[in-house]
Amino acid sequence: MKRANTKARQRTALLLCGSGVLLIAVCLCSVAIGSRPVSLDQIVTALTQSSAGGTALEAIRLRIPRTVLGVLLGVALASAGALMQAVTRNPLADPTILGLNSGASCAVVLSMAAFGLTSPSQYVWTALVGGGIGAAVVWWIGSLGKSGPNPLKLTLAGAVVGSMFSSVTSAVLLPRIDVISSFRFWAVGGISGARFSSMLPLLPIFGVGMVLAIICIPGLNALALGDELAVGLGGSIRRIRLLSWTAAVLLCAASTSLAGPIGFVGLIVPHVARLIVGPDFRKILAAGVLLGPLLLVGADVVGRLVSRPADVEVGIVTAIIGAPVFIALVRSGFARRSSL
Amino acid sequence: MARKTLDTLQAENPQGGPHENSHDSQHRLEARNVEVGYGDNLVIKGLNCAIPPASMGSIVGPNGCGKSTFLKSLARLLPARSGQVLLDGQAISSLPTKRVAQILGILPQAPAVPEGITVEELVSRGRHPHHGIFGGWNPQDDAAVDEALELTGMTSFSSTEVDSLSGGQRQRAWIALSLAQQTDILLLDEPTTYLDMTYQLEVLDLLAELNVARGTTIVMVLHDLSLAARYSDWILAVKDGTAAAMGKPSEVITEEFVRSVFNLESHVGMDPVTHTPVVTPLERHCLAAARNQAKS
Repeated sequence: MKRANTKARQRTALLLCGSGVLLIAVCLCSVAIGSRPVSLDQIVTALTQSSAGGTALEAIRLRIPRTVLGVLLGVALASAGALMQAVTRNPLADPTILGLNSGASCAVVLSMAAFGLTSPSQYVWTALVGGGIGAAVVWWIGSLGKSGPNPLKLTLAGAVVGSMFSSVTSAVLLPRIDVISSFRFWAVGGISGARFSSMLPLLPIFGVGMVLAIICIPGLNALALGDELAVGLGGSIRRIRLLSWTAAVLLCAASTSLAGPIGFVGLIVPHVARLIVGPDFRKILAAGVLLGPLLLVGADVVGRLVSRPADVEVGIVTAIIGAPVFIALVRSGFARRSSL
Repeated sequence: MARKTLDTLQAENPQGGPHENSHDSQHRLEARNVEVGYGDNLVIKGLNCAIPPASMGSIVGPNGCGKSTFLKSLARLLPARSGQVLLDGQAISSLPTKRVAQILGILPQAPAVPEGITVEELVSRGRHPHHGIFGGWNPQDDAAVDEALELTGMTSFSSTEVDSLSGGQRQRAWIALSLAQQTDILLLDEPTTYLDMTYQLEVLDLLAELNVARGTTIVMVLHDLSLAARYSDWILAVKDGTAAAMGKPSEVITEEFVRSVFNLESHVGMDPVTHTPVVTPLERHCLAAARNQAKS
């Protein structure tokens, strides 16, 4: 927030720079590593000469959107997680609590069962709408009563609405073997099918979400001191909550619709960020924007390495490699404070 | 602990600080026929009170009388169901909340401590009302935070985590946050609760210094009548959601007053040092007399 002690600030800056460098390295790996190995020359060729052909170049051209999507989702999910945890004052808040994943899953299953949709590019919009509806219902239930939305009501509403949508999903899914087999791939969450053509129309949603997130941040810092003091400091708590909620919903809904529900990133990255940079949400967001993609793209690369030549989807790998890394980080004393 | 008082700070900085330090507060806060309640329960039942500018005053009353509720409504934390709270003659609810936060600060009873926050980071958040959405940190903010830390004697704790402070230090950190807000009116809800006698006096001295040197209007909810009498220019007694009395401590605090507002027999004497009323409560069942008799 201010110069504080310069030592701590230098350490934070160093860690953030390190994460940035690491992120670039991981992105390069993501383009270079896969079932078909490619050389650096070929990567440069693929990037500079759009007409050049060959299987190696084709592979690279498939991996570039995949990497871009990984970065985009990492940024979006980490930011959304930080917003959710701030608004609900719940350290375990993640997109599940928004009612968003369950709403999106429900919509995808219903569209598969009722309209026979089968291609991921078709689910994008149903998932987006379903997730949006889920989040809106949670917000509406959480805002009932005179006092308006508060952390406890929102968390409870999220749990209730989530269970409700999950039940509907199960009820539709159980008798339909055909739907189960296509749904299970969506439900894992992955970025292997990334295409620029499906990402482009969602970019404005990500953009608006990030702008709202940045606007909310000073208010969230005030809100962290309790509702009363936040009002005393000139924050309008209803507006801050609604804007943060909207930002988180836009970011999560766009992510989920592109890649299915990817857990863990939104849950853990804000915590890692807080451990490194402290409780100021501006710094948490800045760190999350680096660490989120680092975890997601890194997990995707690992997923490609462990079972060559096949892929393990990133939704599975994030938690498997993310959890040990997180524990190691906490134990290593990297953190600003040693205890959680 | 060596710490500067406001006088020395002002002597060093004769032009006044970044925020018109040297004038008395010109901002007027007034409650007109205010009614406040939670749900069906009406807690404040038509309270009138004009806070004298640049004064230091206390709101007293028995538990549950509504004194904290009234303070919150003065700070626009609770909306008035009817009647109005006026800041400079305008309904406080109609003013932009950030503008109000530049004039009026409130320290609630139990604010939340963000996990892992340091004293300096906490105090810095007091600058919130002085920033726009994209407003950056500037030297004025640094000066305000440094001054607030200095006045509360918390400079040496600035990089300590608030979680690890003692109760007294923590309370001073919160007061530092309110000071960093640099408002002309400061409302405090029981600022001395949980503090030992020394810290209680230290907090009240600090507020009195602020009131004298800067002309900050100070309104606090206090439980201790003798302390309230000692530090206040005026006392507002609240009973059952209405104003039972308001005036100078020496006029308000009498044995009859303690009996009617607190339902307590007492002896009201004179503090030999400050010449303000001192309330000595009498034991309701006269146990002291019985014990003395048994001994003799």
